[in-house]
Amino acid sequence: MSTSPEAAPSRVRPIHLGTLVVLLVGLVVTAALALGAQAVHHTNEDRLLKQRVREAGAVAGAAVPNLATPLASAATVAEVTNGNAESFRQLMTPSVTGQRFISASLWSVDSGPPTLVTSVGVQSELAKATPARIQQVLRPAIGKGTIVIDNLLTAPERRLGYAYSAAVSSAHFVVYAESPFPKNRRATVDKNSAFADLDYALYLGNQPSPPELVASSTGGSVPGGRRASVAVPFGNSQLLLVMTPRKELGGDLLARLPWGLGSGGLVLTLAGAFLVERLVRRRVHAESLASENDELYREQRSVARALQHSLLPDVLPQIAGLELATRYVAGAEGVDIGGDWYDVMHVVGDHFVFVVGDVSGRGLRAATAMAELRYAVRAYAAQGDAPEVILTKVSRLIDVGRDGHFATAICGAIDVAAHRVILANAGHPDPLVIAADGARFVTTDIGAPLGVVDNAPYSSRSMVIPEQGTLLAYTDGLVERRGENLDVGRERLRRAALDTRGSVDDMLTRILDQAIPTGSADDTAILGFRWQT
Amino acid sequence: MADLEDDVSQATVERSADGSGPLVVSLSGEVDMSNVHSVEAELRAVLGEPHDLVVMDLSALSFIDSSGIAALLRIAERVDRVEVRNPSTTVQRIIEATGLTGVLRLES
Repeated sequence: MSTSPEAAPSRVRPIHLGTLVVLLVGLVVTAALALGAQAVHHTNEDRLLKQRVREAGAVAGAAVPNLATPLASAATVAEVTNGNAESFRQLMTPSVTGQRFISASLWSVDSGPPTLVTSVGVQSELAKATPARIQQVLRPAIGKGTIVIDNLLTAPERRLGYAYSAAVSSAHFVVYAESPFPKNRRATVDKNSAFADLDYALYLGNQPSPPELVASSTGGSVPGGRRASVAVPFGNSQLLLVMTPRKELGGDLLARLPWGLGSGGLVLTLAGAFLVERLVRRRVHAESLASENDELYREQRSVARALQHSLLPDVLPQIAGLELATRYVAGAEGVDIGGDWYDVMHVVGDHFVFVVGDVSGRGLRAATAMAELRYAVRAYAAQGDAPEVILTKVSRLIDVGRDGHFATAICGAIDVAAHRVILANAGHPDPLVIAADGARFVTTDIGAPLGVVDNAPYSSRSMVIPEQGTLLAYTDGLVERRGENLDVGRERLRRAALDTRGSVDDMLTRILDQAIPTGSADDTAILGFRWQT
Repeated sequence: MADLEDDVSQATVERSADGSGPLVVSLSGEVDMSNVHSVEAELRAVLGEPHDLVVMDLSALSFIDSSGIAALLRIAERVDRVEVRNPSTTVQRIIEATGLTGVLRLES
């Protein structure tokens, strides 16, 4: 090859369609997987959060009775003892010193504005309030048997007040208590708590409005994002618990899955696209190489054929009384030139010499040896040598040990007027003679091939071919087949030659059609002549 | 091109350990243009030093073309005498038709 494919001017080649399809499909599948995993993750987190908030709500709900129980006890005792201050203080002191309440007081609400009977702990905010406000706080609790919440969260000392009265139609007393709440509204969750992984905000009422914030883990409202809430009944009001997860409730693995799938899919897609592109390019390259090779093969073959024909006679002599035809059929195999040849030359008068030969092997060296032998035969024939002498002399020109080739040849002297042929044979297939009485192979004295034995002796036999008889000399490609005895091939040729209609050339056409299977490997040269009288 | 490769013939060359007798080389399969070079190289390797007599056992050889014959003749040039053992009728017929019965003699 004279030009290298690497020397192609443009190295930038467009990406193939197949690669783009793989890329697109890969990205779509990756995106679908990642989004699907993300959706599963979200659903999972939402469900887990709701579950946790319900649990937290239940815990908070369970705390309400702790608040209500001492108040209810005190209210009942007050009604029974008709507002005995000593009993009240004895009952409530543990609750006030136990930090549940900072203040507890007993109010008489018999008639007119409520009046303070006694109190425990610090002074309540209520006690500082106006009679109207006191009335407003305590009145709704009378006879209800439920906690009535007094919202003091916005006051300087953040507190919640609870008013409670026994559930009797003629209640005379209301118990009132206050609980403190941190000013910064912050109440962190214990690290070991079941809810340590959540932020919460607890509001009084049903709206998460900042003024109603009782306490939260952050001191303010919970951070944005995923959140869930639950309402917890609380006396005559309710508590709203809002929660948000601080981390993935379902674990990190599920949270990372969409990213893992996305990046894994992206890498796989890119690798797949890269691989496909490489394979496609390789295939395209191989295809172009194959077609290039095919082209070269055909070119070389046609060059070989042209050379072959140039080594064979252009024009055969016109011989009065003799019809002459020749063929050369190239074997199917390979691009090498073959070593088969034929020739006919004039000697003197109506005497001619013909030769059909075959140099073993193929290639330029075989063809060169063939050309050398052909011209040597012409030279010896021209000086009048007999066929056996010609073979003896040309045998010295080739040596299988030295040249690697040997040759077989049949050489004949033709006497047209006498219808006589003298044949000498150097290891070559016997000629076939076709006459009115049939077709038969000529018996020759087969000598060693040319170039095998030093000073090989050759002898000739003389024969007369009947009027209008035909002689065919050929190379082994016509009769030799792999896996079959030579005699089978010879018989096939003999039968094909029985039909002598038309010219000798017509005969050769028929014989080649019948005797040479298509795709025969070997070259075949064939020469035929027929007496015209 | 592929059909050319499919046609490549198979041939194996073995040297038989035949005790004190002559050197026996077995040739099997088919020998033609497509494999003649490797077969010949193998023959040369098996033979090594020049010998007085080499017997070529051709009983397992099914086909040989003129290039294969040429290889045998080139080998024959290097030894004093070559004898052919048990050729198939096909191979023997090729040897006869090529006028080589005097060079590639049947084993005596």
